[in-house]
Amino acid sequence: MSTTHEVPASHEPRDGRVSGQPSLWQKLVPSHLTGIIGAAIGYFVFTAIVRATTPEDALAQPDILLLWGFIGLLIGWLIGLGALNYPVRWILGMPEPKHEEPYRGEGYYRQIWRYFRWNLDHKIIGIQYLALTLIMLALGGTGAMLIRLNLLVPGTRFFPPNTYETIVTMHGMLMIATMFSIIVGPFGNYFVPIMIGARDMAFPRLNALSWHLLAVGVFIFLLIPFVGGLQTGWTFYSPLADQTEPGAIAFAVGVILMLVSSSIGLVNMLATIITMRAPGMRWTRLPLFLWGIIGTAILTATSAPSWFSGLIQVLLDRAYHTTFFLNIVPGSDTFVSSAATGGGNAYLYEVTFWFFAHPEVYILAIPGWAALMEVTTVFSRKPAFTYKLAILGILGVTLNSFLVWGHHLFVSGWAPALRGYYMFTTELISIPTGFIFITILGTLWRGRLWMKLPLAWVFAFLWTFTIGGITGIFLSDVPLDIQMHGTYFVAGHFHYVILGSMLWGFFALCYYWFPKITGRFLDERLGWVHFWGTNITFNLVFATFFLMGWQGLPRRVADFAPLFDIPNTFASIFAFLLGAVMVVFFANVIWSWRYGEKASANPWNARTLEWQVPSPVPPENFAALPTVKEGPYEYGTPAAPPPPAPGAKPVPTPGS
Amino acid sequence: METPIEHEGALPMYAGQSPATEARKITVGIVMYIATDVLLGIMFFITYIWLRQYNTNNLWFPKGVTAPSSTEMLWPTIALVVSAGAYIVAQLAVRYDMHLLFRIATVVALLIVLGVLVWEIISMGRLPFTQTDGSFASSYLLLLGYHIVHLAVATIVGLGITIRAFRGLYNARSHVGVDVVGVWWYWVVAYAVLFWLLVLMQPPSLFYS
Repeated sequence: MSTTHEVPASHEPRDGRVSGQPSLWQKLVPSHLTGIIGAAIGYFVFTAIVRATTPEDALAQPDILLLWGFIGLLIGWLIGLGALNYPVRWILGMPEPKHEEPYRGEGYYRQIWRYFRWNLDHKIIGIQYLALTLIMLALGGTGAMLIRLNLLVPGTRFFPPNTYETIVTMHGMLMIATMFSIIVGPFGNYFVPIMIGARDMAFPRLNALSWHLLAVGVFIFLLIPFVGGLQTGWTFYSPLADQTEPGAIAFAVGVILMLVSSSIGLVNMLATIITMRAPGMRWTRLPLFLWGIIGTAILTATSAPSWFSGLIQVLLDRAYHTTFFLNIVPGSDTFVSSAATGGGNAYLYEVTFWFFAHPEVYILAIPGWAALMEVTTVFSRKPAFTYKLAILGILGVTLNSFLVWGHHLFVSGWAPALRGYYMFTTELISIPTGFIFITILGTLWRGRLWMKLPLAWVFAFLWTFTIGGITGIFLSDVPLDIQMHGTYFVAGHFHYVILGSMLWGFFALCYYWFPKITGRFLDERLGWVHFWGTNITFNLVFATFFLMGWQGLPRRVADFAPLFDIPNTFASIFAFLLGAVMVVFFANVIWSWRYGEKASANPWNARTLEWQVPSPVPPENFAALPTVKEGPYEYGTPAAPPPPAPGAKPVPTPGS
Repeated sequence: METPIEHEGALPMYAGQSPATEARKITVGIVMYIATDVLLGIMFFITYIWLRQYNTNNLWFPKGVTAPSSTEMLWPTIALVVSAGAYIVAQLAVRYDMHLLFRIATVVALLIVLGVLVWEIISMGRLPFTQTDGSFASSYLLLLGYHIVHLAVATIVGLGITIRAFRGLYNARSHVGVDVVGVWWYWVVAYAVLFWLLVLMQPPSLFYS
């Protein structure tokens, strides 16, 4: 044991566990299969009820039917999963349902179908999240490829403009949703309880609900092309969203479910960290990754209700002809909501959206930063430089991000008097962000760097996020923002920021924690191909965006002027190569999960609690709750593991 | 080897956590979830205030639309305050193992909420306007609908608390479920009071008629 924490080594099965193999019936009822059947039934029952009870003229637009159909689908999905069994039994004062028993013996526990049911184990949910977010990443990436295909040559040869806009909208929102979940979903769920020395989340059922809401939300979202498409872009600005195709209903319902899922999941993690820390796990001993989760949870819980309210109002505007956002004079229009009297205000939507969507940038970024700080200490073999400053940075960004959202409205005409304020607060945010950089750079400085893939992604982050951050300062300046608004310069900026922090952090964590989750390493050669391939192609694609944006190429337009022929073709070719490199990563994950080199329990000689238990982690995490004796990054102390020799390999399982 | 603990709503997998930790975990978590819901309610009030302040095209409160009566809504609001009082009595009673009082208080609180729920649904259908009558009508119905949903949830969880009270599942040592449902209860009542003060005490045509 390479730590002074008291972590009992024994993982004997506890008394009372049900052993033996489950029957086919137990496997299938309830499961995702029954959930899907329930969802289909729910959709058709609800639409039938609406058809029977709604006047015919109100059904001229499919919005009401779609809205209630999706609600029925959600309820049917939850009933089919068995998710509502516990609440019903709780109301009746009955014991919890049998199918929720988390432990039924090792044989039962190890079977693959446990991932396809309502399961309360945070590790199972973490892996469910990993699979779902990787699928979302692949779908969003496919959308990017289709966009670049259309922009390969001028003239919209591949997709008509409306289809192109639908692809842009779906790519944008799906990628945002992916980035929202890709660290906190898989790794937050899997590691938060283990890193604090607990057996599970505070609310395992809500944890399961979180994943299942995301899954159904993504499914409904993916129906957009089948219900007319959507041309709003991911911002979903109303009144356009009020008036566009019925795909808006699928968008709004899908995104609401994603928001609820994220809020439920992250508040659960926050409650877990606050109340379930092991003895000795003081606040100043929390790993930085957990501080990132705390910041993200606060941001999500406080900002998500804002867009939630905006989306609800769009749904009501469309389905029930209310007038939250439409500003029309009665009888003067042919809009979808022509029955409405008017009096709505489009700024209201913009404000409800950006009050969420700017903090949301940091919801994406903070877990990435925290992940990168986490691996930096391990692979530098040094305590985190200015640990408390890093926490201050995370919390400072969390607080400051609520004060800056108005900079997205510099050109909208809303509150021009506040431009100076928003410019100042936006630039102010570079200070707490700088604390994060100081921590990473200070930890690397004179560290005994172990140049493995997780650390390589830290260096990639320093490059990409510096570019993303500096261009962000450009865009926070009112004069330049007015010039650059809605151009590819903005697209280049946020791709550098979001991918450079969140996705790079995700990749770092994949290479770092994959051995803990699976007991195997990701293949290192393929990993380096992925690393260099991604970074080279990414920079070639998105640096080109800056050049095109500087020359005025607008975003979200299906065609372009001849001036942009060469850069667009160049960006498309390297985007395709970037997509190919991502295939290498996906192949590596799938292959290594089954055939990768076996890893020991603590191959990186790390000191946080998750590395003190076997790999993969046993069902109960810890045989008995551990006692934490020191901080997470106490490298260089007498009790710490020795640093690896330069060029050392991680520790494989003896005999493997 | 630890002994699995028996605790309301907990799974054996929490063995090793004390009942006090369990209670704290549930309380802190549920309060945070409710706080998120409170923020959503605040956003709806902001919608109301925003649209009222902008009064786009003078259509906040179109001519010919009648405002809802503030006195009509006053009595259900008072009834909800009384239900909150009954719930406080229930919370105190369970702490002192006064089971009969506990049961009576939960039943009273539940019945009042159920009555107000029915009343609000009926009154929603009898309002002097519909959702298409301008932005005031839209935001008023949004606020009222939001409260109806919350009353429905309060009725369901209140029913659960009442049934469990009659089954003897709560006592002076184990009552965290009663307490966290209480937080929801007070939020639903506070919302009704806020709704009355903010929306109905100030006639919607006050500034623009």
